[in-house]
Amino acid sequence: MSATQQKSALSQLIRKRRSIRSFAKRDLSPELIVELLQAAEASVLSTDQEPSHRFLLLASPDGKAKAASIVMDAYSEQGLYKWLPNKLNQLMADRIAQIPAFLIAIAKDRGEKERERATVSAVLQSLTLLAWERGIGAVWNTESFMHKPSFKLGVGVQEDERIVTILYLGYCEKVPKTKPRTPAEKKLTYL
Amino acid sequence: MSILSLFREAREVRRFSDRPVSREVILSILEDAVWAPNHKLREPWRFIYAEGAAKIKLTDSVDASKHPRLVDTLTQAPVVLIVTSPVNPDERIDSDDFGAVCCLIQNIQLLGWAQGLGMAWELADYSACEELLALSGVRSDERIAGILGLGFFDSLPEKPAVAGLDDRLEIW
Ligand SMILES: Cc1cc2nc3c(=O)[nH]c(=O)nc-3n(C[C@H](O)[C@H](O)[C@H](O)COP(=O)(O)O)c2cc1C
Repeated sequence: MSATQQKSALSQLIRKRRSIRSFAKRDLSPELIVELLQAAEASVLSTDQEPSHRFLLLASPDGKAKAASIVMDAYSEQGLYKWLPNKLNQLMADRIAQIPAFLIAIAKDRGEKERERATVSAVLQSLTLLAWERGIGAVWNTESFMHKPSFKLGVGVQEDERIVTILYLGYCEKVPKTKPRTPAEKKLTYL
Repeated sequence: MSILSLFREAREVRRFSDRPVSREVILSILEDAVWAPNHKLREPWRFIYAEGAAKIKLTDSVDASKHPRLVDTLTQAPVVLIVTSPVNPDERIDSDDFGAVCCLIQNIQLLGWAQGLGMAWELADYSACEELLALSGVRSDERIAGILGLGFFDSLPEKPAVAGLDDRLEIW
């Protein structure tokens, strides 16, 4: 690719990417996600030679079944779904099983925590773009259940760590309509 | 270069050439970058652009002994872009907005890199830099998500070793 082609390919990739919330019934290889995650980590301007963020990738049926029960525990800790637990347990387990992969991004919640959270967000944006190029969609989830002690305990998140997001990943079935953006010019001040 | 290798090769740039950077180049990068994901489409970013005399004033306002990296970037980069995100009493909104602005900054870095424009991303606690905040018009209900130094470069800086994922990735 020439520099001009490269620039316009990236511009298209950034503009066309959409958050994907329902996925094709097709497995996603953890090896592919790891390869893209490695490239995403390399793309980020990190000042830190020893990053303190880490990831947990759930892509196997067993791993996801475990996650489903942890999510249910966290929901009931929040006081949600106290009723009909069995039926809803099943619903939740089914929903989670249908999502091909979850990437839990975890950052240290002390010291320069904004810097670390910024780095993690940047890595996930790069990963999302690299995934989109291969027909894989993603969406951030930042619902409050993931900060509940039962959920943190279940997935092994330490006291001094915080889940930045759970990224849902899977092959894209159909791309949702584009929502317009406000031109950057309207949000720009020249000093 | 494929997009994948473009990403793998990306690196921080802190030394820039004299080649001028036009406002149009930066604006066209920003018009692409705002396609970042952001929750509830709040588009929680704001940009403050400084070059020339305005940039020198910003540089002089910062205590170099407290923020040496920042002063270096402000001095070296021909264009400085301050990107802010709103402070919100609701913790989830606050962190979602900060995360979205960081995704947007990553877009800026990648788009710049694809056309030979290097970037340094400064981020620390600047709350004590009152003069900098006043000069740049950052409000008390905003936080700085990045002070970006942007410019073309003559020689490609070395890429620092990328930390491995081995002990930072668990797979279930
Ligand atoms: C920090 C952050 C948190 C988000 N949290 C959620 C979430 O909890 N649930 C969800 O459905 N989407 C979430 N999103 C996705 C946004 O809703 C989505 O980016 C927005 O609707 C714009 O659509 P687009 O990404 O397709 O351009 C989040 C995005 C970001 C950047």
